[in-house]
Amino acid sequence: MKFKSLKQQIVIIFLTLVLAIQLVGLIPIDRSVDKNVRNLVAKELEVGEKVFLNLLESNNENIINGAKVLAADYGFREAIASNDQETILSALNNFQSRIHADIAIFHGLENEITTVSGDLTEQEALPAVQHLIDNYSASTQKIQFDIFNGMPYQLVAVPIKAPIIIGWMVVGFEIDDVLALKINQLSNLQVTFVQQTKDKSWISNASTLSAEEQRIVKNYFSQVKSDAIANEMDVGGELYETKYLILHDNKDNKLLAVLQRSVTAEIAQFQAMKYSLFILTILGLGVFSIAIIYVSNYIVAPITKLTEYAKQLEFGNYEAEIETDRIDEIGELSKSFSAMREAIATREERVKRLAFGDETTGLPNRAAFIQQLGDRIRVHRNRNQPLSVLVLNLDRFKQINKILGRDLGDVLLYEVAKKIKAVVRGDDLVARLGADEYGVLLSNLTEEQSLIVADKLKKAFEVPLEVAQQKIDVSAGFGIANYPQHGESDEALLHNAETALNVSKLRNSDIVVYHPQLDSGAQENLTMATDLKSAIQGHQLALYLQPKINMQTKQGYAAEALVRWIHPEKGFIFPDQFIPFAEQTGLIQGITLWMLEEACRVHAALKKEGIALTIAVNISTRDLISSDLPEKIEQIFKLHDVTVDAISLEITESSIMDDPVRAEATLQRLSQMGLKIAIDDFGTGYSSLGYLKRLPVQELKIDKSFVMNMATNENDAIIVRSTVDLGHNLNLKVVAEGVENLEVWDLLAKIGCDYGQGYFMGKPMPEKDFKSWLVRWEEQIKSMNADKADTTKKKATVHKIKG
Amino acid sequence: MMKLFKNPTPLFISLGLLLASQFVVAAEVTVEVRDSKGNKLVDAIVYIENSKTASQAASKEFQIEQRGRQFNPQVSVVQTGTNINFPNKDKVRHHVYSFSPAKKFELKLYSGVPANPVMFDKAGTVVLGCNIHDTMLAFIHIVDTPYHAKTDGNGVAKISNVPEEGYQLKVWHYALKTENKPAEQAITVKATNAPVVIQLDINDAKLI
Ligand SMILES: [Cu+2]
Repeated sequence: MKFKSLKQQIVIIFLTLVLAIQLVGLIPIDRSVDKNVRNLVAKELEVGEKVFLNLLESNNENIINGAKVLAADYGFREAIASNDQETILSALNNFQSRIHADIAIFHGLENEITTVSGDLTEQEALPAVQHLIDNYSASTQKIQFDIFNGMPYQLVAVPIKAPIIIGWMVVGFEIDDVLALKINQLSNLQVTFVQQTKDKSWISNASTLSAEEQRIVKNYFSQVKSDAIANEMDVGGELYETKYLILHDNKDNKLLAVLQRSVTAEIAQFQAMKYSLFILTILGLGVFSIAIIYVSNYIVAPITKLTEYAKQLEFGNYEAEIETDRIDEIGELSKSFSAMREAIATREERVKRLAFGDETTGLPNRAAFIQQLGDRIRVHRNRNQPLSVLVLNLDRFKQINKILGRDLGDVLLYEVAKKIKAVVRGDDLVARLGADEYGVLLSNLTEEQSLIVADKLKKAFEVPLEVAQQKIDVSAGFGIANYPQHGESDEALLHNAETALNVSKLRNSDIVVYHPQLDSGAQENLTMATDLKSAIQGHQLALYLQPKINMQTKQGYAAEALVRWIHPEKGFIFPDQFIPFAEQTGLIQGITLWMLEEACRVHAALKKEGIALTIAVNISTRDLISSDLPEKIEQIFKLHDVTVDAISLEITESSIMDDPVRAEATLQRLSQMGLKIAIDDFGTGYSSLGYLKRLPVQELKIDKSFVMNMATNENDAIIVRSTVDLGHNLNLKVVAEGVENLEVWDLLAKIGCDYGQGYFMGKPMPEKDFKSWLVRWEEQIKSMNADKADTTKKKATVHKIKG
Repeated sequence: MMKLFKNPTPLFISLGLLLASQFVVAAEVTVEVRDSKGNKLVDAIVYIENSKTASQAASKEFQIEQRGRQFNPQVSVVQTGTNINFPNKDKVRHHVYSFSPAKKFELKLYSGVPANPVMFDKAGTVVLGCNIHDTMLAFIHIVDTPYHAKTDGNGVAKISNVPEEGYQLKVWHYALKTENKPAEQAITVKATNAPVVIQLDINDAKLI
């Protein structure tokens, strides 16, 4: 059975329960009443019978005791002995009235005389007397009855001894209504004495019943044979449990005592009790029903309200409020519900945002991107149209975030998003896929077209971002995967695009389109690592020198050592293509050591030719962090028998910032050795001036990105000028990289930049070319000087040391 | 009141007994009394009478003690005219009485020996009782002949010095069903008399 309402359930279940309990109680009561009443009545009857017999016995005893007194009287015995009839009779009469007996008889043995008090004649009395004497037993004094003149008597016989038995005393009491009433009072039974006379008719002699009832009892005995008398007798509509005792039975007549107890009256009592119990049950049920309905209302009503409310929630209505002033479980539930509503509302809001939106950039997130990608793939599959997934990842974002702080980092991410959106078409999906990774879903574009978009984006990244009035250079790597050729599922496409992106990062190449070999990237990396190791050991690396010119003297003062990899199969490989990998794998340390040694060797070689050239070697993060760098450098110096001015070191801002504390410690030790240290790519690393000030550096190198365009870009010019001023203020020499023409040279010279480096002076060159370059440079200086002969008298010469 | 031959008792008369009656000499009569089951009967009174016996004077005195709240002896036989003393050997007092027609008397509460003995001058049975102690009971059978005896533990009574004559043998017992009617039988006493066996109808309930 299913209930539609809780209230119904509560009411029905509880009412059924109560009703069941009541019934379970009532039925046995009803059943047992009848049985119990009969048992009770039967028991009462049994007890009554004993009471009745006890009464007769005690009567008997009283009579016997009285008779014994007379029987033992000396005078009475003397009267008997002298056969004095008159005295005997008067003694009997006196005795009879004294003990209120109805009959007193003396029967003498000597001369067989019988003296009888009362109305009986000798002839009437004699048979009974003889019977009593015959049945006499001194030890057991039986209760005996007999009938005189149709009237029943209880009789006792007592012997008169002198000292042998000389006669008998017989004393009798009539059985009458008084006796019946006495028994009734003691035992609560109805008592009737009925007698069957000589002519076999029945009469009743004494009874507690009414005359009519006596008649019925009497009739009953006349109709039913005595051995078939039932335990129950219907007396005028009243049922009696009945027991009868045969008091006297001889050939002439029979005397019965009928003891009765009304079953009907007893049941009536129980009936009354049952009736009141029934009334109580009905009343109780009524009260209980009302209580149950009230309670169920009390419980269910708020639940109904909550259900209504939950439905509202189901439909997304979070506005409704639950009001309750209850403090019980229901109130608790309401409050929980209320709290749940608020929590759900808040959470849904957030889930919505998180699931499909990135809070920082306002772009869809990765999940949304994948979902959209899947959707688009299905659409494009049907239409047979190409699709392109472009992912890009910001370079060095971790460092940028560290320097700018999280909040500004977030602003930067936001700006990047804006930048991307500005480049792509309005309906191309742009999403933030990870911390510093973005994805662009380019619909309907072929691989070529997607490459054009990527290129556009790359160009867009060349323009610095403005974050809190700071210009920040952010570059990125790009990976592209195209549908359907690079994957047919959303996951595969995205994965492949990201593979391409990783490769782009590893190789430091800007844009990589996925191709299946990239998947074996690990294999390729392994190959590259093996190759690179053998390159370090097998003289595939080459040291190139790019001169650093004193802008005031125009003399070649120093050179930066640049590494080149001449792969036996792949040919010439630029550092951009293997240095990031070497840095990632740790192979960079081998390269650095090789460079240091090579630089020392070149220095020594050039020195022999009379050229004193301090060669700057780039030191990576890992080099700085490994604490044995100073020792290794010293060993190299010893090996090549060079002094400390053979080399100088260049470190990038970012390499310091990865672990500033250890970097500083290493730098301090290097500086103590007398090594000159320059900061490379200054202006791109966001290092703090305070920190820089502490470092034992002597030079700042302005990144070529500022220098190259300073002739045309006023902002770059300002940056360069301020950097130069800054460097000078910090007592540092300033080196400008990327000097590509005379114009820039002049500008730099004008603002007091100390050194210059760039194509204008000289491209990186093998050691063997250096001398010829020196010759060419001398020529160039002359022409430069010639251009300004009037203003510049100084002669540009290469500083020569004693040979 | 005595009706002879009314209830004839079976008699066993030996030939020797008939022969002995020829001589007048003193002889002894031995009677064995049994009940109807053949058991020996104690305290049965055996006596013989004829016309001469009643006139013989009785000079003996007799005594029935009260000892331990009982009469002793409980059964006695005396000749008419015998004075019987009732000495009380108990510390309690007794009130001896008789309502029997043969001799009605009472000795009101007394101790020791009463001043006068009681004279039993009429043949019959006297039942003695004590008005204080209901259980005290004794029988005195008074006969008109000096030839009387009481059966012993073997149910045997011997009457000696009996002249050899014809007699009426009477046997009485207090528990006789015929009450005061003794069994009778005529005998002729001779020296060579064999014991006479008498069987009585006894009411066992009355035995004391
Ligand atoms: Cu006494």
